[in-house]
Amino acid sequence: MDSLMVYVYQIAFSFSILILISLGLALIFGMMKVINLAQGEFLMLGAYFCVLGSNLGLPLWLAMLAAGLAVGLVGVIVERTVIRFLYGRVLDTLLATWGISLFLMGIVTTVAGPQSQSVPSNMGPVSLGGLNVPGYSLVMIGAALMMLLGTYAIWRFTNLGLLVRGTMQNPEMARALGTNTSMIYMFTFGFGSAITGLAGALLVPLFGASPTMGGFYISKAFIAVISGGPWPLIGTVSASGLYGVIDGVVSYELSPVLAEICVLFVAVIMLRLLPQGITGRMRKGI
Amino acid sequence: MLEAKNLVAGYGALPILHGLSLHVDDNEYVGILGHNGMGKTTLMRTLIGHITPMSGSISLDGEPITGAGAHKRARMRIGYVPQGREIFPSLTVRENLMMGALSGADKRRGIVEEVLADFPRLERLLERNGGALSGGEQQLLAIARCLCGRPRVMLLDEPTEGIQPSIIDEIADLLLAIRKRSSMSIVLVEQNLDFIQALSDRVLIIHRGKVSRTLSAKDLSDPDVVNEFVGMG
Repeated sequence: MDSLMVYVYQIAFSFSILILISLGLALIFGMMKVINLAQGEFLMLGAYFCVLGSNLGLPLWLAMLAAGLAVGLVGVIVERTVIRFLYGRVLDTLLATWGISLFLMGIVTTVAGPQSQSVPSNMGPVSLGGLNVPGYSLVMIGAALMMLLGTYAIWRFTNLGLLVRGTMQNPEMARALGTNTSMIYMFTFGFGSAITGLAGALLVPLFGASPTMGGFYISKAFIAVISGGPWPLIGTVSASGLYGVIDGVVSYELSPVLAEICVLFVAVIMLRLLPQGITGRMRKGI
Repeated sequence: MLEAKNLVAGYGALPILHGLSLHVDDNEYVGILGHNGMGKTTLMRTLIGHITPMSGSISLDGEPITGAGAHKRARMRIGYVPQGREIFPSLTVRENLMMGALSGADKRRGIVEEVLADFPRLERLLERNGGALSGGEQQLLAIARCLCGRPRVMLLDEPTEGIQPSIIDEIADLLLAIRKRSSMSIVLVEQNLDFIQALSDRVLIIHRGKVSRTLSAKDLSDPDVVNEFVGMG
């Protein structure tokens, strides 16, 4: 029974980290088909905004929310000044967003220095089945689930979400029906950036903030979204579930390094068996 | 009401319309006939705003809209039913209709239900995906989706293409009923002579990007005129 609790915790922890880092990418890359190489740096910016807010005296949760909003604003600015001129131009987008990524890393290193920074959560450890786990990690798991459900609900049940889905399927027809698709693209990119920034902020109490942290997470996020297939939300959740189980179990039983290797190995096999991704054969979804 | 003057438009630097002019009055159904490649669909795409004309002007009630994007024209209640229908395949039938209603000029709730009253076939399919419908059902959906924006003028591009005859008759009956009870106008591009004759007050023949002739609907029942049209290359 005790070890079952530990497994559940490990899997939920791995799953929630994957969800946090890949949810924004599922919208920006999965839905909008924009390969944003600066996605990892948006995550890093969120972490630093959270550190900044906390240093300015904001309560941690407020600093996290403010960090999400600030990165959302950065996303809107990047979309309006760069991305919107490059829709449908994959190579140009790669080059431009790579430049943005280097720029953001450079500016953060210059301002905040290369060393890692952190904000303590001031939450003690919690005993789970004989294992002491950071209490904050449970908060993080809950926050990841809430972000996932919230995004799904907005996309699935609101008028705005419907306009987004229609625009992504056929922008020209959406325009002919009166949708201001340029605003929809801006909103979607800004929303994806905001949840990426919030995710970065949520990671701070456990993993800290450093200028190069984006690169560490971004490859896993791309793996989750690509394995998910054509329905970005459902696909990313299923892929995160699968990789979360592997990562959680292997890193508990053996070691975190081996867990990463296993996840990569399974991802390669998955793409060989299901080249269209997990949701490749689904006819309905989101 | 809707007026286009001396439109020159096309793709890239190559014009397909060469100084085309037309006007549509309130409650008037204007048919447009022409062989393939004569610029019918280019005309429709220019009227809705997907193509910006190189020269010429478009106005609605005297107000120039030549530079307005498609979404602004749609909000000014120019409706568009494109060739090939362009249904959102992964949205349900109801969601497709809501896409038409959400950004339309008339934001009242219940507009989808009002429109559906004319489309009993669609009422049974509301939760089905748009992409799972037959061609005829998709055409009905495209027309219903356009009506959800409460258009004053509907641009209707080849609605009978690849559709079973029973649904073609349904569409014709419906559009005739709408003409009686509202003031909506239609610009109808069509190759089906019977259909265009049944619906149009006036038929423009387009040849090489210009209106070459205007016919009354009655003229279309004259075999000489039809032969002349069919024989024209």
